[in-house]
Amino acid sequence: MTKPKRVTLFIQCIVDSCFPEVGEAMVKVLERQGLILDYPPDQTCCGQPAFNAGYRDEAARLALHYLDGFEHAEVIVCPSGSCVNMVRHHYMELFAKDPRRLERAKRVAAKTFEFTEFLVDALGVTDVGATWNGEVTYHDSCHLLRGLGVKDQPRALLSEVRGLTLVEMTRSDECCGFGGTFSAKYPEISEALLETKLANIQAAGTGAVVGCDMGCLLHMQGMIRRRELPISVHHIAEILAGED
Amino acid sequence: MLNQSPLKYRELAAKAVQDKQLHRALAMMRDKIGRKAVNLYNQLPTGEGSRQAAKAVRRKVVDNLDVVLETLATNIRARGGHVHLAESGADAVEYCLGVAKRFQVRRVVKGKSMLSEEIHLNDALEAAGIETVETDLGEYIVQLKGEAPSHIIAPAIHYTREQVGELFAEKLGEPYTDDPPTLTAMARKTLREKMLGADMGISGGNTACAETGHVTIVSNEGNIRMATTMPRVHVVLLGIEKIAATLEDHDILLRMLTRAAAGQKISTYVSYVGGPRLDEEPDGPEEFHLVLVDNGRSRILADPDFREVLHCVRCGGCLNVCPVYMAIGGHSYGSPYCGPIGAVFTPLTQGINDCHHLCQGETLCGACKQVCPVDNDLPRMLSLLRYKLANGDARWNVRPQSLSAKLAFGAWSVLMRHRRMYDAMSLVAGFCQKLLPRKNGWISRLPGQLGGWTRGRDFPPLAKKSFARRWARRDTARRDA
Amino acid sequence: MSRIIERVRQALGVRANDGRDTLVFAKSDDFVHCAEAKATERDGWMESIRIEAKALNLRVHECPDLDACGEAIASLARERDPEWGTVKQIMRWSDPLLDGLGLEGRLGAEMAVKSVPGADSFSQSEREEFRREVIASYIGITTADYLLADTASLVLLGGRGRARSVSLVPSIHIAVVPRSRMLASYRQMLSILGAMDLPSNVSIITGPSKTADIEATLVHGAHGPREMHLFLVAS
Repeated sequence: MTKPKRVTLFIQCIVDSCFPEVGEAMVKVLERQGLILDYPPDQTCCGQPAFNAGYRDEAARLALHYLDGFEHAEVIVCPSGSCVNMVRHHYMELFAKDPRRLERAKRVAAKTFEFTEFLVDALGVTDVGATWNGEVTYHDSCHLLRGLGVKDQPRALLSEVRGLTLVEMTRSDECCGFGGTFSAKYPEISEALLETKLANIQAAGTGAVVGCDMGCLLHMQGMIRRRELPISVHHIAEILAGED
Repeated sequence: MLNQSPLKYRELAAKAVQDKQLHRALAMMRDKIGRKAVNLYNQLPTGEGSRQAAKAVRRKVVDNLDVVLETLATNIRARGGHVHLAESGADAVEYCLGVAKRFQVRRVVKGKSMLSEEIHLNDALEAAGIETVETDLGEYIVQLKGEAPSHIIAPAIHYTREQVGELFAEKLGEPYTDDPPTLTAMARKTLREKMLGADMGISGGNTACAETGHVTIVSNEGNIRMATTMPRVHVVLLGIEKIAATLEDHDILLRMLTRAAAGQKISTYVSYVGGPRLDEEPDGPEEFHLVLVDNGRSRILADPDFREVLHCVRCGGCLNVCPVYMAIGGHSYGSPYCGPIGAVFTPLTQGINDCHHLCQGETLCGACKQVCPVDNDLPRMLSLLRYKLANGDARWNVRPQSLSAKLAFGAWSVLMRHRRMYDAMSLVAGFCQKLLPRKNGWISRLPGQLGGWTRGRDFPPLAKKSFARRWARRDTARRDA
Repeated sequence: MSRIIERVRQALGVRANDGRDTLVFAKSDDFVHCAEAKATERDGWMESIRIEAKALNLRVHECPDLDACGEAIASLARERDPEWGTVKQIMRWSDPLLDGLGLEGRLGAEMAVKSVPGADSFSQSEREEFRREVIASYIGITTADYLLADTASLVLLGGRGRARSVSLVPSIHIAVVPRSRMLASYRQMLSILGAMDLPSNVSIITGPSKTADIEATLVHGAHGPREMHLFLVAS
């Protein structure tokens, strides 16, 4: 892809309301690439929480809101694999019976990217000029990995960060147990999966974990804080925005 | 009668997640078989297209099931076998009892058959005074224990060798040992006697070949061969969907099945059985009965959204990679079909409302979809089941599960379309969160339904300024600069 | 029966006899030609069999002729003890190849070597007698119709003079197979079987029985034979 004139930001609701610094880090990285950014202020949510719980008509209202807000963008970048997965795959399911909206959804899906896949696949960039001293391990979020097929891109970006050593954990691709409302409705199971994930992170011996999805990361951080575990949690945007 | 119920899912799962020994056992299935399956598929001549090739074969059969069933029945009958199509589980059970009665059967030996568990066949046989002995080692163990199998392929995986040792010492009167070869030898001796003295053998089938008129049965232990060769009568239970059309279909199907189920290129024993013994054969059963069971499958067939689930070859591969199954084990699902396949198949056959936990108690991580040898999209179907639970469904007799949740999501989706409402809700939430107990800044107790989260985890507070506000401020600052 | 077929048709939205058979039972050209490809033993087949056999705990013996084979089998029979009881008895298929082993002559003084009766039919008492004899045998000897190089599997078709229980009930199964019966793969075998009139029973056997039902620990010797020997004869 040739460098786009303008990049439109889609900021996941979790990032917007709880972790705005992740959005800011992504902005910093993108601007360092010389990109001009837009942020449609009316954006809210992709509708995923409703969709996962089975409330598709309700999710469709928000999907429509996304179409209205973003379909005229040149390219859309989002710091969350699960939201992009929602747009690229589930919007088609929501509008399967409405040809006009389906067409709009397809067009907007084709230009919606997750942050790391945008940098590596669309811009062809792996060295974003970042520095971050330390060892980290990387968690493959389910929707990002299996929904979007994004596996190598984050690793390629991390490998170019000066001072950073990436140590792979056992079964990095195993679900952390978040799963949306599942985490509150089936807490025992959710926690069991999370415990396994945190044990694998600790076994990697890095003291720090990186991921691309705040859903997973806040889930991990939730138990890390409760149990006061010595693991720091980072969204990849923060690592890539790191400077000397 | 085993008291299984999918409604107990949450309760059983909560206990099972504490069972470290269960996790160790299941982790072996995961590491030895589950996580290696895809590499094994890729080694076939069809390479990375193997799953698609197997899927194409299954789709061909299921989409033409009437033709394949008729041909199978005709060809088995031509070999002198009997074919009975049973509409319901009860019908199938009645047929089996009828055959047993005709032959004055006193002892039945069984090869592992999940379908026989589905229709509660063992209970009916026992009630009719017929001794029923499972011959698959894992099934034999759970039968001695009086429990249900916990895995489609490895029914007794949840026991330690010590537990099996204690069980055999108690029930078989053998000296205690925890050495698997010795324990296996004990079972070998006991079950050999049972099999050689049985009147009837009942097995399942892994697939069938309509074009030649055979049922295909695979095993590693040899018990199924023995249970179906030595007794006078052999009865096969097979779901109507679990068949193939041609011998060529078997090439990809069997090779994928054994790789997915056991990490093997081929099982020790693959038998094609099509009818009673020929006159010139000195051994083999004098009667062969194939019981093809519907029991809700044709209803699934009629729904194009779910028809795909009938492609399943019952390999158990999805179980071996499912992190939820790994944590909660098979018994939590309350059904002979557990794991991801059970989470879809059980609601569709036992009632979606009654099985709502199975539809909702997963993370939809997608690991099962990647490993399924016939490329089934179980996450898609689970998501669809949730949709039906949310809104109700006439075709599947589903009542909406929660009116309050529907109203809540409804209101949420209307309000969230407007940024101002979103901001207003954030303002309210930001205020309310001050009332919640905190620990180092994060919320340590959430109210109501969300309280499940804070049982063992803290929850992030809202930031003082959202990204949107920070951006707006930056924009203003830039304009002013 | 027809009610269920009717229900299936309704579910699929199809009608009977609408010509779908052709598509459903079609065979690919590749598959059909697989059988026609000349099955001359190729380099690598023997190596493949040896490698597969090792993992399976299948003992492979390569013999130049039937005489050597017969002597080797007789040796084995003398070395092994019965699993159940103390009396040694061998049961073998009736087959010209196995006749050529001369086991009756070699072992006749030490143990009974019985053959599956070759007859067009059997009475109930004859069947019961045969059953007792198989159960009393600690070694069962068969030949095989094919040997698959990719998995070291033996293919046994049912028929006259052959019995299913001979490769199943005795503790030790010995299969004597001429090298000329080797095939490349399972696929080739299916292709060949597809072109013939199949008996009601075909057994494909790959090594001795095994199980991993206790703690996923592999144990050789479950219900089928706990020991298996493949004697490959050059001609």
